[in-house]
Amino acid sequence: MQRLCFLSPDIEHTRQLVEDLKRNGISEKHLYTVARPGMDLAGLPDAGSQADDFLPSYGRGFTFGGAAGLGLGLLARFMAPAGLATGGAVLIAGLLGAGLGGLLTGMAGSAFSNSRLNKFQSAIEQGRILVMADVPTEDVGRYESLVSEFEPGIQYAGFEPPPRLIP
Amino acid sequence: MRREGAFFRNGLIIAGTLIGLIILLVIVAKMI
Repeated sequence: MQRLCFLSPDIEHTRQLVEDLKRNGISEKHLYTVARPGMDLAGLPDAGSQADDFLPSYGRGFTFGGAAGLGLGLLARFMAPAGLATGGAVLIAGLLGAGLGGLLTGMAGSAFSNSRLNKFQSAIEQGRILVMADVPTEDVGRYESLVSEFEPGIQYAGFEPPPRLIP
Repeated sequence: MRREGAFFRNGLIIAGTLIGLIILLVIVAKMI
């Protein structure tokens, strides 16, 4: 799956684009629209899990927390008196660090808009609407040409990799 | 509707992480 991004100038174009994509085999659960706050997107598939930064932040916190925990565990293993910090303790320190890091960063991140969409932020603030569609990798070219052919008002804005839980 | 689904999933992840952390803390407590 690849996530294609399009920028639409207004709601009417967005509705048309979403209808076209649905008619051409993309189900609604694979479509997302993001607009600036206050814009009425009734009837369009909303951003859902893409709206906030929970998952990307969770992934970052998990990775860095885990690395810090493992580092501290290893440090303790070599600095502490023998027998106090075993291999299991190092592993547990890493897991604790990963869990705590993911939890705290994820909860903090859920208060912000999705950091993966930063490059579209200025366009969204100008009133344009971001439409994202998850399409099978082999069909990327087909959907690109379909949109450029039938929707002249829509700007193709490149790929967006789907968020990974653990980077 | 999707928004609620996303909140539910985030809640599940938070709950799962918390349960994992509690299990780890119990293991640590038993080790000491």
